Amino acid sequence: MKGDELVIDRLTKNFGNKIAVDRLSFSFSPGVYALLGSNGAGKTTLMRLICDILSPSSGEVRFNGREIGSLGENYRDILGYLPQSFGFYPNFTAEKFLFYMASLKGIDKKTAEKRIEELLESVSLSDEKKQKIKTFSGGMKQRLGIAQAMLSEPRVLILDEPTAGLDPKERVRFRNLLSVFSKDRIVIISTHIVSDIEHIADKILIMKNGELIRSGTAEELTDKIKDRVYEISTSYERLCEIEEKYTVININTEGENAVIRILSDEKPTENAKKCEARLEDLYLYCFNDSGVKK
Amino acid sequence: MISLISDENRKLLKNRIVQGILLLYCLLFIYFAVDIIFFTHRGYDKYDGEFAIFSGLEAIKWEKEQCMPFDGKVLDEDFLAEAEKRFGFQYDVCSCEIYSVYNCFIDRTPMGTVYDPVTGTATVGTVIEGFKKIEDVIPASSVPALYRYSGGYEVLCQKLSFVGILSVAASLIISALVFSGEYTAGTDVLLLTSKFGRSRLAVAKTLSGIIICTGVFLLFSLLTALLCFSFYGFSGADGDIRLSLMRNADEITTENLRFFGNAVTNAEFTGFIILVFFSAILIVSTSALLISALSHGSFSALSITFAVFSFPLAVRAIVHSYEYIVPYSATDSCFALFPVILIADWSKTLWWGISYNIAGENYPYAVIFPLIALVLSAVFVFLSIFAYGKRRLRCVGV
Ligand SMILES: Nc1ncnc2c1ncn2[C@@H]1O[C@H](COP(=O)(O)OP(=O)(O)OP(=O)(O)O)[C@@H](O)[C@H]1O
Ligand SMILES: [Mg+2]
Repeated sequence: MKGDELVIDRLTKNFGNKIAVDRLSFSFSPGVYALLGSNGAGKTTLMRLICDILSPSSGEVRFNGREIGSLGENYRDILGYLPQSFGFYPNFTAEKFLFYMASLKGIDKKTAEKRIEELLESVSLSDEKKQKIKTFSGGMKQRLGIAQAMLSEPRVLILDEPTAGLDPKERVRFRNLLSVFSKDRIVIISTHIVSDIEHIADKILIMKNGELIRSGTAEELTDKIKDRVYEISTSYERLCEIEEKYTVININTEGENAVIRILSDEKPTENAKKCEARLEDLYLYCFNDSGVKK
Repeated sequence: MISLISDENRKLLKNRIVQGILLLYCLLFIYFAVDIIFFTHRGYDKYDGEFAIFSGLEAIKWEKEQCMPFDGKVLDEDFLAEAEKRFGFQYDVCSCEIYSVYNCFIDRTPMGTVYDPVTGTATVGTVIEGFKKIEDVIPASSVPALYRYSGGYEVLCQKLSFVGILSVAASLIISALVFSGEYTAGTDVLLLTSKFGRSRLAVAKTLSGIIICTGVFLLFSLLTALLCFSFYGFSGADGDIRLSLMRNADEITTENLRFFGNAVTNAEFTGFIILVFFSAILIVSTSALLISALSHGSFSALSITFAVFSFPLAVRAIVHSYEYIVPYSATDSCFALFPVILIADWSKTLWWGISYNIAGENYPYAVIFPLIALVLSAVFVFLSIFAYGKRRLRCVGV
């Protein structure tokens, strides 16, 4: 089977005169994609456009060559979506809720039963499946939301901040679940937790002000700032001076001193230590207001 | 599609507000049962069939000036003795008097007669008043009116008006929640990505709203009917409404009774009550559905619906403000405190009035108005589906 292809073509969305997504083009083939971007960068808007929940101001989204609006039901059939914020029916139990979602997705009862059992297990809600959703904690609801998105075994899975509110253990579980699930599928997740995607994402897309500013694998992206990340241990008095001179990525306190992580083309000081570039460095580099341009 | 609708139904029935409304229905039903078993029309059964015989089925025919000759005989000796003692009438000659006195005797107050069961007083004067009223009500007619014992139908019609009022109010609230509830709960976004398009979902939701609203009404009407008939029997279906359901007919449209050129039977009348309520519920629920589809959330949907439905009522209230400022009775002033009841009452009376007035002599044409309601509802349904189908994410938080 030839892999699916999801193409975004000069996609634009305005809200009044605010441009949330700006002439964005990209082509997705099966694999895990991570969307990175600051608050308000346009990630959610982009995902909604891909899910055909919002209609674009211009441009289009095509799935296997056809515009998704014209695919209609056929497209929604292969789509799974976890919205960033949404509600549940508080008086449904977790299981009933999933059955309801299954019937909304047109899954027959037998298949649904099996699938729901599996999914509840993988998001570790099996013990709570008979509980009403209103008794759930935030993280439990989030896991239920993830289960709901994966219910129909979608070929295109879109998860808007899936790990928000998950505890570390559940986060690892989620990563494992996703790495098994993502085979031969297009999975797009957005997140602010950089460490999450370092492990699971094949490709990373960085959005800023509605535009796609970088894309590539973690290595490709960090390559750009390779050999430019340094760590300096310095006193707080000298901090301002350094901040003016370099792009500061991070400041850590270590006793009396501050350990700062900076970007610099050459070795800034004698005691500076060269570090391996991480995705987080790149992220902070891209979104550093005071700092260097892109 | 059917599974979609049943899912929507299940979802609606899980809603706390809807459950609260269903609880109200149950309480009303319990009240009916208690009322019927312990309080309503004591003595009815005692006179059933033994009260009097009528020659053939015809009982009353307007011929003379002051009385309606009645070709029959009162059999009940207790009654005769009691009536003789109280009023000194010759009861086997005038059916009309018999009817009035009979009603007095068994603790009812139709047609202006007043009987106080505590002191046991009812004067001849009041009987005559009742008599006069019958004179007004039954025009000179060559068609004989049939007298029948019809306790079941009479009590049922009374109770149905309660069920109907509650149902109109309930359908207003339930329908207003159908779409708006999803916006408020934030679940709309989940529905958007479901396999079925928005329009199909809208169809399912609309139908489910209508099914629940009318279904609950029909169900409780049926239960009430079972309750009434099991206590008072089925008899009287073909009896003339002019001689039985007086209380009801009086309460609703005393005036309109004069339009009954043709005899309407108790069964027809009961059916018509159900039809009128049914169409009122259709209109109310479909228009509330439309408001719901257009709204931003439950709160706005509910308030707009209330505003829309209470507007004509407000006008009426202003026009007849004295009625509300100086209410007739304690119950009236109680009702005035609950806009929902007034709204429901308004829509009921409106349909009733229009249907009767315009149908006039041709009772069967009264069905036209429920038909108009049906057409209007279809328009509302179409508009709601269109509105919801076209609408994209507007209310879900960014
Ligand atoms: N319905 C809307 N009406 C008006 N403006 C909107 C709407 N939805 C989004 N926006 C604007 O579009 C921009 C992008 O929003 P979006 O929700 O896509 O950001 P995001 O990258 O998902 O942010 P976050 O990380 O906080 O979730 C924001 O500036 C937001 O204010
Ligand atoms: Mg977002």
